[in-house]
Amino acid sequence: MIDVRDICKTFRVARRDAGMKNTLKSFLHREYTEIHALDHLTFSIGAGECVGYIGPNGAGKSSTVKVLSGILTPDSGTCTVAGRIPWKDRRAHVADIGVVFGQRSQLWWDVPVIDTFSLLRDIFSVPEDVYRRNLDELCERLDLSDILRTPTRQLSLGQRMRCEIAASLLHDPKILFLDEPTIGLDAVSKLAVRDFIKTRCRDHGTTVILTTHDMQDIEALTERILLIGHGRILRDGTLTALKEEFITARRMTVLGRGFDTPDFSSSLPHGMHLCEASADRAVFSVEVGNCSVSAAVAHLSAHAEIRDLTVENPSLDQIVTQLYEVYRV
Amino acid sequence: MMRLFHKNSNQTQPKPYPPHRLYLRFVSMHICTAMEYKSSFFMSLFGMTLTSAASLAAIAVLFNRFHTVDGYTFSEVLLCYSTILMAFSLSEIWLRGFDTFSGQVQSGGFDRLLLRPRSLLFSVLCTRIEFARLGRFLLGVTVMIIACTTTELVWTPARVTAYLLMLIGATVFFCALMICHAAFCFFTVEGLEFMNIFTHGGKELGSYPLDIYGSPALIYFFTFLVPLACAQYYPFLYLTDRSDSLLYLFSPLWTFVFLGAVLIFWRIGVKHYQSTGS
Repeated sequence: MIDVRDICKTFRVARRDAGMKNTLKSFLHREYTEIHALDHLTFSIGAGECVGYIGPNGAGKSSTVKVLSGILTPDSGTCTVAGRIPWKDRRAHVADIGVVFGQRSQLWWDVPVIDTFSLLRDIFSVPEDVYRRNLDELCERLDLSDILRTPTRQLSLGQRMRCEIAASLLHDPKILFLDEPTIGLDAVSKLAVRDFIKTRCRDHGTTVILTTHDMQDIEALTERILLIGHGRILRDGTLTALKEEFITARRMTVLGRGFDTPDFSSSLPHGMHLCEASADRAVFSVEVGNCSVSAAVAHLSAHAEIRDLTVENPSLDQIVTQLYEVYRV
Repeated sequence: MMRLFHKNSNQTQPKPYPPHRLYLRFVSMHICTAMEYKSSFFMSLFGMTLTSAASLAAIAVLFNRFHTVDGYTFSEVLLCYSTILMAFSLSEIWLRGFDTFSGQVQSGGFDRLLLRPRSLLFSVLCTRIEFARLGRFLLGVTVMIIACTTTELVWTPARVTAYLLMLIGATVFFCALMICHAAFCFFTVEGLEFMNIFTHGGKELGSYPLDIYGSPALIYFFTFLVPLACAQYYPFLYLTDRSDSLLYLFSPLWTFVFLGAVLIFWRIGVKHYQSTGS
């Protein structure tokens, strides 16, 4: 569905040092630094896939979305999306895609949402029966019936985002780009948006590309992750594989008694370390592969008294932070 | 060429919604929006009309003392003034989207337009329609009617043609200036106020026949670089029997060439924007 090969894009950014003198100097002679926003970017995404596109700020996420949606022309490289080159055949291309920018609305501020929708129907030349069908379905799934007649300016952020998503799906796009769709949303709205994207992907076979900083989004929605940094794909793999690789230790928190005896801490099994301990609470780190959870629990129950026990994996946020460190982005 | 593309590759959408009807849909949306803020709309309508009326009063005061200026009578100057005012306000009403285009580029709103399966000129055209400027246009029409009835000119078919060409040419001229202004935004959004010299400056200077200022350089400038004189001065000379050159009669058509050049500039601008994305 999407095939990107060796895409490069370099921006020139004017740069000057601080101060009045340098300001005047830059007026006469500007110095530019080149920023390689995309540096031989290569990846492909199949039809119906739901892919999470992550990376730190400035890694090239939005540039990629812009290239794929036909807004930006790359310097070199090839790219086909649904069989077309986005920037060569813009008008035909955009009829096949839907784009949601979390911070760039396409709803008319002062008129009821339904008016924007029917205008989009005509902009995208959607036949009336298809429009009706899509609108009914979107209204039901995104729970829009009560807010369709409200002007956009009176909607809450969560309601607006739901309308925003509906607006970009009215013309049945094959591919949906979501650029930080849950930014600023409360928990309920986030869940509603995630839930919708998931079912959309499943029921319509829509290909979804999701850029986000919210790791819960990724965890809830995508199986495959693309990590971009310095304009390159640093890692392309499943969430499961990522977890397997990066979850090297689990954190075990125990409430009980008898953790502060010297005897207890010296007899820990291989791969189990005491991180902090007080009379009634202890935190251990249990290395995956060296010590099983059951062995750790067996040891604990033999040498101390357990009242409560929790085992946690590192959060996806932590894994990603670790990932950024490993790839130095 | 764009149309051909559209036909070949858009089998999923057999019937594109006709652009003229889509434009009317936008017009009605803009009316709805303007009516959401009625008092603001009417205040702006009133204010705009008042500023134009003030410059009209200045002309009236001048002629009250001197009767003719550089050989032009009051009603002749009024004819000139009203034509330019009508042309300018027409372009302001319908092409307001180009006038305020720098905001679109800065806020990224233009990216959204690129995501619509429509021509970009059309999409920008649809972004704004400024009905509050309608007052200026109506003022122009009123003054035009006064000028036509008070003048000693006999309205022969040739003169009517000259007048219509003048009005059309001046409108095309100001529209082209607005698009030109917008196209500059693709390269820089700073320091574009210089374009106002041509738009608002052109409107002010154009209130009188251009030779009234006594500067041949000014006329050359507004003939060859920015063809305001072609839409105003030359056909006006023909209209008022100061010349019988057919070249002068048809000179407003030159503004279409200017428009063509501006559209090429616009396309270059879009290409530049797509390659820099800023």
